[in-house]
Amino acid sequence: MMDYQDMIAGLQAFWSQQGCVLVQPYNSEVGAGTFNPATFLRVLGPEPWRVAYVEPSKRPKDGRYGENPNRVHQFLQYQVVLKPNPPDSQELYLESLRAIGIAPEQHDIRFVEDDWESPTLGASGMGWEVWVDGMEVSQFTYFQQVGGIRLKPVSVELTYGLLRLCMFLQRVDHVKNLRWGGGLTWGELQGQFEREYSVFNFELADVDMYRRHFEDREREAAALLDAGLVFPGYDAVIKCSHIFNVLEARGAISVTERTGYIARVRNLARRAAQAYVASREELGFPLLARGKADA
Amino acid sequence: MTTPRGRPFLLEVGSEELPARFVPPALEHLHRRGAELLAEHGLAVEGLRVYGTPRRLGLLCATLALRQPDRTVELKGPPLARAFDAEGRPTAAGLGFARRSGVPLEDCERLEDARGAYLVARRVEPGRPAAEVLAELIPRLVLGIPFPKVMRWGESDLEYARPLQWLVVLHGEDVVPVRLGDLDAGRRTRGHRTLAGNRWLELPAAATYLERLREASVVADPAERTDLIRRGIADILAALPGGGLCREDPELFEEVLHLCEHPTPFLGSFDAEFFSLPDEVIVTALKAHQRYFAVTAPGESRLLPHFISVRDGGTAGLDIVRQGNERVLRARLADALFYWRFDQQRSPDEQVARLAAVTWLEGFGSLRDKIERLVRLVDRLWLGGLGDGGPSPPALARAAFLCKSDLVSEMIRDGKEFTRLEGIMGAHYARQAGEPVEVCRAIERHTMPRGAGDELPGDRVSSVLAAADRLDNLAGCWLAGFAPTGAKDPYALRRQALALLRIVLDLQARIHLTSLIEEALAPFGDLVPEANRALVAGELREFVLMRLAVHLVDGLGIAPEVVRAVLPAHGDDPTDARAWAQALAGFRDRRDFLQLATGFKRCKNILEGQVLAGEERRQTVARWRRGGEGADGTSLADLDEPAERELLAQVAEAVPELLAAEERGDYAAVFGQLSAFGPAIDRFFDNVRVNVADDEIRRRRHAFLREIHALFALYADFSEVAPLEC
Repeated sequence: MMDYQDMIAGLQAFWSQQGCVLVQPYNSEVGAGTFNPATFLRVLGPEPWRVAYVEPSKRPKDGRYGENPNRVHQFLQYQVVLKPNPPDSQELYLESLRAIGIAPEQHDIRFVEDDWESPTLGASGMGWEVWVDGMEVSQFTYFQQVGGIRLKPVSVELTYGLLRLCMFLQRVDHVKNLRWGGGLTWGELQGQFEREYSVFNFELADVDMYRRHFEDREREAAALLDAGLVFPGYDAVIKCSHIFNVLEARGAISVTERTGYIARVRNLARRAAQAYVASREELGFPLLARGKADA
Repeated sequence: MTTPRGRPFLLEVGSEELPARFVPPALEHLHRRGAELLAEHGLAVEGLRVYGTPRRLGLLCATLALRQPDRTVELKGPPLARAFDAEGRPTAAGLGFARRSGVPLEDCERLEDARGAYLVARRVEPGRPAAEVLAELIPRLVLGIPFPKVMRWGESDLEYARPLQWLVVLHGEDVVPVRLGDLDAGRRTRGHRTLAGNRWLELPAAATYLERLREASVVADPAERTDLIRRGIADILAALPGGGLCREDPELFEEVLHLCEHPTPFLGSFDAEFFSLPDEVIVTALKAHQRYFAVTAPGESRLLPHFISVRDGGTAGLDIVRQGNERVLRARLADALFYWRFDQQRSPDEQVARLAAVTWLEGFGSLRDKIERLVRLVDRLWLGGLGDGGPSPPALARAAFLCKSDLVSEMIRDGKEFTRLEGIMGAHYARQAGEPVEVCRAIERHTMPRGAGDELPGDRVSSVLAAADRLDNLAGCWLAGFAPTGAKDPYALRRQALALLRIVLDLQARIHLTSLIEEALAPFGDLVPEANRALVAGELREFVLMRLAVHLVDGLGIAPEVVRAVLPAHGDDPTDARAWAQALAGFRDRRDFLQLATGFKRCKNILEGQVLAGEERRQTVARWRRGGEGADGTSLADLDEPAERELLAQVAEAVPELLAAEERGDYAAVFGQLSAFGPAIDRFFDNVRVNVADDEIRRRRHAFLREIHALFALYADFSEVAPLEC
């Protein structure tokens, strides 16, 4: 039966064949693959884009010291963005499942309504969670708006929950027993990491320091975006978002404060989105010509 | 005029999977609006039916006319005198009319009516072919489906619930040339995703629709799928050793029905170790997480360690599907069991202590502070009319103390579907800790009613706690500036006020709303300036009265003007207000009552708003008891006109009976008594001039009318229910 890494390799091969550029994870903490500029920025504007990548997603609040069978604070997502969404997006997705050993006719596959919203990114979309035999294995979302900007064309985002999918395929009941590859399990590779980060996020993160970091990064983001530097500016936005997640896990943020913090990140994300579109327009939307030439 | 023959007609809109809840209203729209549009455009249909699955919405007619019927159009031309000259030769006007109407002048008719003789052209307009009309109607019909939410996709500007995939429009054997955005109608539909490999199917004719779909494993008729699911479930239960029953759940059934094109129910099982969990937790995991039906033992409510799920597909690989589903459920239940055990390591009292770390409302303290207020407020409510007359029971204070303890439990903090078990889990944990039945029941029910039509808490202890929780929320949120404005009501205060009122009415409790609102605001004393609190008390009272009015009208079906008539006098006691409103509603159409209401309105008009209010108004009863005198001390004994004396004597004599009827709660009798004054009031206004020149007499008559008005106004503002013309 397929190891974790084989499954990832299977998805990489499949989406590479579909004309996706395979990029690497972003070099900063993100809560989801959507934060990676390869999604957040590239879905904006008219330029065509097809990308796939693995993203280690960090959600401090979800940590359970590595003890919960299904919940961990850092997990890998597999992220695919097709812009514009092709008419056969669903069929492509189902083919990708076949590529990793899930033959649709042998299973019960459902597309169950699940609209998506990220208040932090000013983003929303409509679509489904995909169930395989009752297990939610992917999010399938047609982005309608990102960074407060209405999208045209619309992109589809496919997000595979790799851990879940692999636990399902390997029929293991606890994440620690998942066979990763090279003869090692998830527990052997990630167990200590998960435990220590739970201690850090829930017990030791320095609240005052993180609050200061938030302020600093917020200022930095605004200054960089003012200077027309889209990618460094957006990078500071991503950092704000992660700092907020740590503070929240630490229990340092009240319900009302939460709304305020989210609004601050969203405002910056909006500015980054606008700056990106403006900068691409200035460059004459270079990938637009490429897309037309290929067609 | 002959009716053209028809042919079968099919419209099928193929899309990516629609949300299950979108399908029934969309089909309803296609059916109703489809029939309307076709009728409006003169296309006769027979046997119109609709079909639908998550991937397709279909409208099939046994026959649809080939074309619209021909229509005769009559065009009125110029008068004959202008259309023809003196010699009877056509003029330019006559020839022009013939040209414009397309009817040769010799074929035009001459019509004579009251206004003279005219030229008339009658022309038969041929009906348009159905295809031409349908090409216009179908995009309107399809894009007009009122989905709760629509989206865009790709480069298209269309909006639909999910991306459109295909469009079939067939009239007999012919494709009707309809275009929807960049989608052209054709004859191709798709078979079942897995059972038919999602293959394209060519439909040779509209009439082959259901049959071709069935061959491709799609059961398009929801009624047929319903039947398949029901029979499948019955077979599964029949095969269970010892039998079993499927818990009825229409909402879940409808969702499951529209999550598949080819339903195959199957049985799954879970480990009996999970029976240490409360039933509600298991059922929530089955239903809310997984859309499974729970199975109970026959004739009992006891759960069996099974579930029934409905697969979209056939029996191939069914064991794999079953095992997958069982594994997913096991993970959900294992999560729940972990929470259940973990949570019980802390006693409910310890959990309450932990509430101190949870903010209730920013700047308005923690949940622990809220508990403190609730314990006090339940006692005030109990003694303030919601109780049974005795002191408040210890169980009530205890339940108030523990009712929020589950908010810090892992089960509720899960953030997913178990969160909806708030209150229910608190009750379970309290039960495990040995709390008395009454306490547990009140913890469980204190969140009821959850919605407008939802069940009420029922017993008195639970009801008082539920009412206190709502009243505290109203007070705190209002002080914090979260009063509803327009469509914005972030803390659902309208719903909470309604819940509060429904509970009070359910208990038939006699309360003084203003005092209870003041009680609820009092604990916020340190946080809010005194002046602000008084202002808020007034606003909040108005707000609750407004909700009461809405409830009496919308919930109990009482006429709005009746509610307006009684609320100013009785709104502070909602149960009483309801009784007054019901009594008034039963009375208002009686002739004598209308006479009275008219008389009351005449009083009010002639006093030009100079009426008694507040304490002065309430004291009128005492003055009437003394035989009648003005609020300012004016003696009414000197009234000299016979009609005046008659009215005074009649009212003064009736006051004791009026009060007795009110005391008995016989409000119909009160209105009956008041109605009896109608003729005397009429005679008064017919025979006595109120605004006479003599200051003294005028003053006396005004004082007298003010007393009459005040007495009546104690019961209702009758001018609200008076006939319009007076």
